[in-house]
Amino acid sequence: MSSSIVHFIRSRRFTVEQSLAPHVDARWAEDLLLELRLLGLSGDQVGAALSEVESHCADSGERAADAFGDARAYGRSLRLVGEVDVSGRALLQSVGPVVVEFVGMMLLIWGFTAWRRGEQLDITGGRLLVLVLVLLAVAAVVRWSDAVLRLAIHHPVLLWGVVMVVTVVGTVPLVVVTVVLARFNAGWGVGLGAAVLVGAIGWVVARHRTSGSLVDPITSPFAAARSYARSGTPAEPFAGTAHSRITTLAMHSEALIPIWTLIMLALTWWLTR
Amino acid sequence: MLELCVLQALVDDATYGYAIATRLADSGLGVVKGGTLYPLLIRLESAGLITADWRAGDGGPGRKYYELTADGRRELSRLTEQWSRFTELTTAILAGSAVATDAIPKAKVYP
Repeated sequence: MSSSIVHFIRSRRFTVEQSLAPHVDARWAEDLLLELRLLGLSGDQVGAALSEVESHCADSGERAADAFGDARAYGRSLRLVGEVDVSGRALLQSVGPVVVEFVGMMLLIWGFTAWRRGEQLDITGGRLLVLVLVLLAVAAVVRWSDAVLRLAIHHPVLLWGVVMVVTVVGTVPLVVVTVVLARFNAGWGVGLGAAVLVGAIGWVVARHRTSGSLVDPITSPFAAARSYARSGTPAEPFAGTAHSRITTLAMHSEALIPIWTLIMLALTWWLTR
Repeated sequence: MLELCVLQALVDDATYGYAIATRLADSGLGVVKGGTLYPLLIRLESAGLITADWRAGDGGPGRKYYELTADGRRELSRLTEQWSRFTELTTAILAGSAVATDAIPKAKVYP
């Protein structure tokens, strides 16, 4: 059973590579696609670059590694200019909802916890500091998105460790800085937090409706009939990447934060009964 | 001067990357790796010296065909003249009969 699942996952992994470039070693093609995506190139540009490698390998019978050398170095050597929108407005559209969702989630959980305990909602210095730290962390991820994505792909365990350490360190102010800056009725926290969270989800939905799908599929430069947008589910992680590399990081968080909020509320309900 | 040879390979007709590599190899230049050729083609395309269009393969792989533009032909003439002067001068120097000749224009570097 498990081996068939593994086989299924493996067979899905190189779907794009094998469809676009059957004569190119799938791992080499994957490295090239990844590098070009990290450089901020659109699905069309990535598809065209890989198709030319395919064309050459099919004609010459050479292995891609022999003809083109290291895939990542080759991708960089093309010096293609990305068509992806990396303007400040695009970044805000990508990261904004996640940040707002997070603030809403924290307010909602804090308010809900206070309400369950029959207490007032205290906005302590530590809680404010945590919000500021999260905003700084998001800003850092945006600023160094390239490095973060490379770390996520090539050293996922290391990134996981970094995230854990940052999370633990980030909770220290909650315990240490307990001075109360403001005190509200717990219901206000629940209401405001929920409103902010719903508003952010609305922002996400509205953005999806105006800009269409976030998916920027890798397409063949030939007939549109070979577009992977139509031929099935895009293979991870490339075809599923979005308008920009920033969005790649943000799009999963958008869906995760509301789910995580519900889990936390359920836990709080259970722990404070 | 690989760009000169690539432009020359396109002088008669539009063709694709592997055919360019084959023409260069057949002319005695040796094997030009894809890793060298295609980044150069992209730079020439960016510089407006060649254009490219994709053509679906007829029973074979689809190919990206490159064609010289008018600017490309002018650049080919300029580079050919420059190269001829350079080789003449070098030959004269090696033969020990170098005299001051017209300065060789600086090579143009494509971004």
